[in-house]
Amino acid sequence: MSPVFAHGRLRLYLLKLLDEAPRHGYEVIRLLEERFHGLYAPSAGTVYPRLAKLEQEGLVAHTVEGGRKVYRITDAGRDELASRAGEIDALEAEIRDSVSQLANQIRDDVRDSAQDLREEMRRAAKESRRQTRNTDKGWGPDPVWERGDGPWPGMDKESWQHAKEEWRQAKEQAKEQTRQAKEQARSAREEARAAREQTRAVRDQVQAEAHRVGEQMRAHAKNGDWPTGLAEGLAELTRTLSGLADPARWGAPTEPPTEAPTDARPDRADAERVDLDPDLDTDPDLDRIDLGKGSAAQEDLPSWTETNESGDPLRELLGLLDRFRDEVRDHARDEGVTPGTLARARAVLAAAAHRLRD
Amino acid sequence: MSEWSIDAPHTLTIEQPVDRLKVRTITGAVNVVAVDGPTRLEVSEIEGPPLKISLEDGELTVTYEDLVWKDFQWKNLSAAINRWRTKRRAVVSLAVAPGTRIELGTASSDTVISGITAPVTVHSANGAITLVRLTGPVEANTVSGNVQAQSVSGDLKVGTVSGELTVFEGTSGKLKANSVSGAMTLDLAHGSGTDISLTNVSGEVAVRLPAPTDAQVRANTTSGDLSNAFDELRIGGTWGARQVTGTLGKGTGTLKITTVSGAVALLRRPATEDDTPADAPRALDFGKTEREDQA
Repeated sequence: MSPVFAHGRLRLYLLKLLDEAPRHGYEVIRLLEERFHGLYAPSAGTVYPRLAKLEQEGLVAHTVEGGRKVYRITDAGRDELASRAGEIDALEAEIRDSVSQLANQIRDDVRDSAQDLREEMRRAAKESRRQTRNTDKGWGPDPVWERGDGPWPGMDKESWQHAKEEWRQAKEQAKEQTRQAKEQARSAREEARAAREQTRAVRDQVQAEAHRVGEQMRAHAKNGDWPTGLAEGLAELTRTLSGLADPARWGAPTEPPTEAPTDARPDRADAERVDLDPDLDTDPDLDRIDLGKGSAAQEDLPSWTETNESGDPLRELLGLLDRFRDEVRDHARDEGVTPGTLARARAVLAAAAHRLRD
Repeated sequence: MSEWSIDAPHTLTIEQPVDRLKVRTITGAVNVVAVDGPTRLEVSEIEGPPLKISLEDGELTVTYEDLVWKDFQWKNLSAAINRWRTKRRAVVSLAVAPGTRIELGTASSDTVISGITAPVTVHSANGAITLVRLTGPVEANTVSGNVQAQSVSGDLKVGTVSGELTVFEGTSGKLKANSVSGAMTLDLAHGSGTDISLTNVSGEVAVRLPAPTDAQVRANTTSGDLSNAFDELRIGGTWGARQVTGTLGKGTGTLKITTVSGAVALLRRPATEDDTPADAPRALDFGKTEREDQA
């Protein structure tokens, strides 16, 4: 920084300061410092000799107040100041430049310091970050992860890969499960459909069989040989139906509901029709057996329906009923009984009893 | 009321008391330094239309004729812009009493304010703002200009969009700063009873605290890096959002930092650096020579 005061300028400025008011030496120094914003801080060794010289020239005078010299401007001094007003203006201009220079200097200074600080702190932050990672693993999200080159801080590539692998596996498992569930649903639907088909086939067969036997019986009746026709027809019907009616009565209705309840409903209705139809026709069969006729038919009947033809018919009937009860009970115990089966059993038994009475 | 119009480099000494200063310029520089004695206004460079200076009820206003403080109307905007198109550059330096309230508004002027004890408000679009030894409350807003504050002991409130904030030898009781992408670097000289709140989106935030600090610390970042030099504080959170929480010393002050993607660093002030007293006489001893002496 170039000196604020060129040669002789300080002298002039001292006169200006004293023109404003009488001042003592220290006050002059302080004022100079303030007017020039700290850029120029004249020492006592500079100011006091100047003041003494001015006094010698008769431009200022001093009085002693409270042990200190107080300087005041003289008339000669005022004349001197007035004659050099232009120089004072130039001095002012110089001070003006000093203020903006001062501001620039402050700005540059602060900017430099700020820059230094930023760099220093950035370095410190980097260092701190490194230490945090290397020596203070416990602070991280997982002590195992030392490096943080993954997508999140504190998570390294390996663990990121690991996590990704886990997610992939979980996704595949979910997909597999969905696929299996779909498969199961489809197979259940398939089974239900098969069961329905089967039931329908059985029903059709039974109807056809019943129709055929009916025709036969009608033919025999027409010939006047109706007992034989009846016996033959019933035996054949019983033989045909025994294979179909039993599973239809107990097995088929219980299976489909466990797989696909909604699909199975029509099956049950079908099964009911199947059950009732043969029952109506098989009941006369029982009559026939009890009468001890139609020996050909006996071979095809289930073993428990065998009766001793030479015994007391009533006792044989009771025995037959007991065996029937056992048979039904065992079957029910093995296969389980649902409310639906029970209702159907009631209907079948009622119909059978009705037929037996006739 | 006194009025001046300045269209050439000029110096004005105002003997009347000034307790409020308002400056609004476009480009160039605005410098305000505190002095004892009369108010001085110095225009050292000027290009374009003249500056209008008025003094009324202790309020000194420096502005252009067509840049009005009050009664701004949007419908006049286009006309105003047309007039503004002419180049306006002014370097204005003011020496005012320390207790003068300062309000500066500039488009791209660099600003230096030093030694003021009264409230200071600075608004700038992209001019740098330098604040030195201010003891009153300070508010500084800038879009892309950098804000530098040295030895500011008054409450400091700074808002920037992309401008950097640097605070050093800061002793503010309250410090609040918001930025979108500007980095924040804070070096705090004394750490008790301070209330600091920093919010940033993507700029990094570094705070250096003196060794004995009393503060409740809560620093959050959503995806930024986090570093911490204080053993008393714990880094928590797992993937994504992470935070540093804890209490330093007696926990009398607060330090709150929130960033989205900006890194956060909590640093310890080097113990070797002795704290320079903040009560030195204003900002008038900032020559290079003194700095060299310190170094």
